[in-house]
Amino acid sequence: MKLNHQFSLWLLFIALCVGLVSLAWVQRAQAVKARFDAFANFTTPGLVALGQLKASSLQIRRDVDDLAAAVEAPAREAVEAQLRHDLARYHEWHTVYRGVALDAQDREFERTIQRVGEAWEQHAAAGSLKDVRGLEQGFVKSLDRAIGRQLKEAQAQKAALGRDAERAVRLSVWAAVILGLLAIGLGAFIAGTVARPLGRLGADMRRVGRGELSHRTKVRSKDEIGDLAGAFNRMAEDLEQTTVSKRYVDQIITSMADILIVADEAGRVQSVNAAAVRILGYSEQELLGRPLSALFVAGAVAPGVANAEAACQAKDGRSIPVLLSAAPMRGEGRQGLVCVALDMTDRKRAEAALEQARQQLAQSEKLAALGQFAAGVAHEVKNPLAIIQGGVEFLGLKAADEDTRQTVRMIEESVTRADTIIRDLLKFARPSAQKREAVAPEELVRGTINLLTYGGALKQVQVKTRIDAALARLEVDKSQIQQVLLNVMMNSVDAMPGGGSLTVSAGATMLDGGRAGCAIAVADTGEGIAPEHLAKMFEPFFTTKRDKKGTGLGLSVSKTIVESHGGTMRIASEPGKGTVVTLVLPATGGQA
Amino acid sequence: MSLKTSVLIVDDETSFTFFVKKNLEASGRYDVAVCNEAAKAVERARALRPNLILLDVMMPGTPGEEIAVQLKQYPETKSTPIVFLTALVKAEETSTDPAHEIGGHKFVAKPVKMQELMKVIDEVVASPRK
Repeated sequence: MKLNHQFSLWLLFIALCVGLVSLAWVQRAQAVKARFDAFANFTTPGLVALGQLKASSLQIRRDVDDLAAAVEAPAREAVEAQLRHDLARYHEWHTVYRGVALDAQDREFERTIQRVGEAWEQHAAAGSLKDVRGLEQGFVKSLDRAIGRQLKEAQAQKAALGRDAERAVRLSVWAAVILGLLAIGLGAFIAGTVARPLGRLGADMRRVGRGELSHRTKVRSKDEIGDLAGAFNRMAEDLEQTTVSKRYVDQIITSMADILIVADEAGRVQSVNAAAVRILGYSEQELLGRPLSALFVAGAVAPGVANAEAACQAKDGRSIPVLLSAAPMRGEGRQGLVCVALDMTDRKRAEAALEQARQQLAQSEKLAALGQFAAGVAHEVKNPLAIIQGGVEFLGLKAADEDTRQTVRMIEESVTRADTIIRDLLKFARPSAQKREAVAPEELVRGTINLLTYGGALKQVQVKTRIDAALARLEVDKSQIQQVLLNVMMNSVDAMPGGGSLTVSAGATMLDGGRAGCAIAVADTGEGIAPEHLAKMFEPFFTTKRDKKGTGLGLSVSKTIVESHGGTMRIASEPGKGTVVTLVLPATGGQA
Repeated sequence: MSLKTSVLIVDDETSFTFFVKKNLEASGRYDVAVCNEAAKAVERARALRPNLILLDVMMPGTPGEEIAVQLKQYPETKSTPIVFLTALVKAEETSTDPAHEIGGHKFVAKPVKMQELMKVIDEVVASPRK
């Protein structure tokens, strides 16, 4: 049973007791009133009746005296009439007295009154008062005594009534005090256990109502209010868990990385999120009411557009490439358009960087092809040139005339010229000079992976890295080695058309000469390389991608680059399982 | 014992070896033997024991560098100086700096003027043996 319930029962019990006591008091007061009434009834009419009886007695005596003095017949008749009237009054007041006086129960006194009355009648009839004078005097004395008794009794009654009234007043005061204290106690109890917790609970409810769904009431008690608070907390919990509050949605929209613009049916901006303000450079106020066509300068903004390439016009005039999706607004009878635009600036930049890297690679391959070609030409041309050189010199030795010697000199000059042209061609076709710097292996690997990732070249390939954090830096031409890594990783991606896993690991190793170095291994889960192809992988112009994009020079160039750094490059492969390409490069100042 | 410098020239180009032999011998200071087959170069060198071997780098069969390594293995040829002849295919061979060496040996780029060739031969032969 709960406290409030118990208390209510106690309160009811106390109220019942107080009620019963009050009832007793009322009964008592009623008794006092009755007695007071009785006292009043007796005192006034009883005493009046006795007084009238006494007055009537005295009048009758005077009437009898008058009758004795009257001798004339008419006067005698008048006195007799008066006497009858007074006797009638006497009886009348006697009747009244008997009706009202408690003292009428005094038989002796009653009989006296009766006897006096009868005596008055006899004597009135006889017309003589001689025999009744003594009786009458005794009667008046007994009347006086009766009146005295009545007065004394009235005094006693009055005193008793006064006491009772005083007690009733005192009890009433106590009752008032008790009831007052009870009222104060009840008020304090209600304030303490009902009103204040209810007030706090009400305030907590208003907070939750305003959207503070994580707010809970701290009202704790073991009564019904505690139950109510518990139920309210559970309700708030449910509300928080199951209902997506406005604030939550607002937070999501505010935190979105993409531009969100809501337009009305006329195509004017109605609301925007923080990303829109940040990316476009306008303030929120500047954006509101602006037509969508002024913000999206390229690409159609229409309901149903999904991941369409478009461009936003920023406040500073920049055109920001975006991926735009637009959907009609649904619900609550609103009409409009919800536009989400993904900022593609970084992606475009990365794509451009990858494209540039690819072009560099292609350029390197072209130069390498030219170098190979030039080297082939050089070998094939220089041998005949050497023969011509030797031949004309021999002819020169044998020449007898100046014309022949002149001819030999001219041929020799031409041989020298041809030789110079071929030297220049070879110089041109050689890779450019290296700019070596100290680079962390991790930087090389991550930079290359980023190029592939942001450039969108990885497709369904998952990349993992296992790079020893304590590796020494490498003394390399960063762009050339990244070119090599890019080439190797793209070969791996090409070997996994259906997706797969690309693992790049880097660890410390020793070069052949005992110099400290770093091995960077690129492993794929691709189709692998046939054993008969494996030996030819580094040969110039060997390619298995002839139908696609391969020149057959990527690995050849890569190997040349790695070897020009004093490093080595190896390929291990198992058909159907995958390929591992390992570059070993020297570390900075890593002399053993 | 001849006062002339004996030279073995190993090169698959017969016309080239023909003119080198003619030119060197025309100077009167050299005895020149010719070998046009790389495979027989070591055998010829061991038999002839020349003062110097002119060795072509790019030949079908055995490359010049390998022949140089093999020559090191025989007592009769291990200290024979070698001058490489090359039609320049590698980066360092494009250099005209005569200080450049291949595997510790001087080299001469084709086409070569005979005066230059003779100068290199004389220098190498005159230099202290390693």
